[in-house]
Amino acid sequence: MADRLAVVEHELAAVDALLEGLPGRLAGADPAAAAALAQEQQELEARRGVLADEQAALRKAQAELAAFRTRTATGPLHRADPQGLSPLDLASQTGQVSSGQAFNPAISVIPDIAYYSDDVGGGAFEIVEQVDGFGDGHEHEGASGGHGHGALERGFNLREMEVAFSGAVDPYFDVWATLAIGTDSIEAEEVYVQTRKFLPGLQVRVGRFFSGVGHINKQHPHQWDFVDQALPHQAILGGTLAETGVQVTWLPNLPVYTLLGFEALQGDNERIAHQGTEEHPGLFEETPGPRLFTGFLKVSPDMGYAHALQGGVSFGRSRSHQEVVEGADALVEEALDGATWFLGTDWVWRYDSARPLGRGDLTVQGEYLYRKKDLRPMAPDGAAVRAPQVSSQDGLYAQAVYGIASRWTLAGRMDVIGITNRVETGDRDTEYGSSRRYSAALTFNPTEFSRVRVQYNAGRFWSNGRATFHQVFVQFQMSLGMHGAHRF
Amino acid sequence: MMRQAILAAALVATSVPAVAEVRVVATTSSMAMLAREVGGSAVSITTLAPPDRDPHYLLARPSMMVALRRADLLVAVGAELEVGWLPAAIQGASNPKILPGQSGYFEGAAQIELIETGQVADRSRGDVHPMGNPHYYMDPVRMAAVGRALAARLGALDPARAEEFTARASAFAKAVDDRASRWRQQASGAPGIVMYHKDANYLAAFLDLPVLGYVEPLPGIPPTASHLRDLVTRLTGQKGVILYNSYHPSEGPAFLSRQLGWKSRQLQLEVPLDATGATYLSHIDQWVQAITGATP
Repeated sequence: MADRLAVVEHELAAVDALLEGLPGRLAGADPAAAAALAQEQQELEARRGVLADEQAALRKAQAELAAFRTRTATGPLHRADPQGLSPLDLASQTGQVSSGQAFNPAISVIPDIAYYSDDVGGGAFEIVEQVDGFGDGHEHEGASGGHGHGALERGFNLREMEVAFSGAVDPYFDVWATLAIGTDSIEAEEVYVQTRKFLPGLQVRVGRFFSGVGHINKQHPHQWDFVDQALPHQAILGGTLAETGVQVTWLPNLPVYTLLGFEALQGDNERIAHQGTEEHPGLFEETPGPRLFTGFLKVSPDMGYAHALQGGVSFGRSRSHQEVVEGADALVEEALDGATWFLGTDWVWRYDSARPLGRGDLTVQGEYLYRKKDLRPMAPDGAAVRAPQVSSQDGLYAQAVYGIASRWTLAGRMDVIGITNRVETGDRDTEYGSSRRYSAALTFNPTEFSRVRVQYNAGRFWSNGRATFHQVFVQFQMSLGMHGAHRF
Repeated sequence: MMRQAILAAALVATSVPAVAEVRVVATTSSMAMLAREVGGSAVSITTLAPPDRDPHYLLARPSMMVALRRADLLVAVGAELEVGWLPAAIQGASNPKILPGQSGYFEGAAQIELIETGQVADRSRGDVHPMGNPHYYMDPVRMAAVGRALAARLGALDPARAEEFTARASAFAKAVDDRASRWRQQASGAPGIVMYHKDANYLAAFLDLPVLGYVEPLPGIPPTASHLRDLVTRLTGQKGVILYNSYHPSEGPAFLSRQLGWKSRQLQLEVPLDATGATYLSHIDQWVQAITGATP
């Protein structure tokens, strides 16, 4: 092909030279000669056209060949040669036809680094943890898996590094796996399989996941609007309700968004569905799972492009919750086993201002949670069996996040827990006080992949007596890899 | 006898089942325009992103999931323009018909060749789109090509009207063709444009005009003082026009306009919600006029 191109280009140059000479020859020619010259010029021009076309075609083919060679330089030749190309030497190709690493799941890595300080000697988290009436004052750090997103040390902390993998397994299933990696621990935050196309509107999820009850329970720490979680969730559910089990959601084909969900969960939550058989064998009998069942409903009317509202109700019931009451000498005074249930409602309203990078956007949301525990003493050796212990606690939070400028948000939150805070034990009816926390957070999002946040908390608690504290957080959160979803 | 026949005919006429509309959900108003232009009365259209909001930063709202739950066909811009919210909305809708790879999923970017492909996937260079610039809806020729592909897809969903869709797509392509040379002629000799974001590059390429710079220092990053000063230094003495969109802040363009003595124009990047093909053509008209500096 290159040879032919050389020939064509050579002849083309010759024709051009002849054409260039024509005007000179025409100048002194008589009419007959001029006619012959005109004829010659016509012929030359026709020939030039043919040659130019061939040259263009050859150049194009040459470029295609070059591109083809580049494409196949690193891999095997695995397709028919394009027309007009000399075949490449197939025998010399030793490559392997392989997709290599292309089937890797989508990955995102989200480091979460925080600076923390308080005015109670680093004890603010303990005050929250041991708030009166909500139970579990006896818990030991790390006794049963620890608390994923709990206490911070004064100073700098690597709160966690979230590593998430996701992808389609086959046409039928997706898998999501989120690991929370700390300085000395790895926790499977969520690992579940979800159906891709089951029946229209129906989705089934199996594995370990954040329960769909309420609004913020299913959010990972990096999706929170504050450094710490809302108090009702901390006090009533011991943090995020993360369980192993199955979830079925149904979105019926209605003009208004209506999502119904049901979950059958193993029941392994410190505050509502705990099994004490591991720590205190002999005191308790294990109730087989699933022990915790939840249901939720979310409704959201269409309010156009600027506004969005969603309301929800949630319910959960655990067949068995076991806890012990320890005396001053750390001996078990009482072993309790029974049922618990909770009820909640959640509301979110969002306003999208259409101004650049979040300026003027406003989100207002709140949730209320009520929990009841109905526990029977289990007659440990020697102790007198007493009347059932019935306790009722509740809590709510309300928060607003406003885009004060492009990329900047200011958020305020109020938490109140223990508006109802009663423990009845037959002969004794104890009423505990309510605790409050106020938070303000200023967040800067340089892009949607990075975030720097400063937060201030003030708490007034009933926690083994009156306790107040002030907390300051500085948080750095980065998102590397897969583009995250802007969830409602 | 006659009366009976008329009655029978009337009965037949009224009892012919109305052919169901194809329920189309378009991500942006440009894609809705295309679906409306090609689908005509055979489609009903819901648009997820309004024209006055930046489609990069939307939230996956529950109402989007309601629309997608009922959709027969999702018409998306694609090339990861909607990556922040569309996958979440599709996932929440649990409608097997519109999953990527199914016949109910139509991504315009997959039907045509994109420009600026093969950029390094490195976010230190801003909000880059390594698969190519997704704002091809500013190129009328590419939109006509996407329209033809959309007609084929709609035809597959509603075979009885396949010819009608093809004819409508051809008519739109012809209307674009009729104006193409005039637009190019109008713009020939225009000095070039400074854009806020890389969103009218297709139009610049179509008109064969140079893009002289961007108000953003990097895609998705708001302008900085030093970047604007650099632009002024580089462009002083040259001629051009500054273009930005309704959802871009005007401070940067206004500063450049003062310093360079150029005109700056704020335009809608997207057509109105109820736009037809004709609206789109006059939308491009408006941009061409703004680029050539002519007052509309």
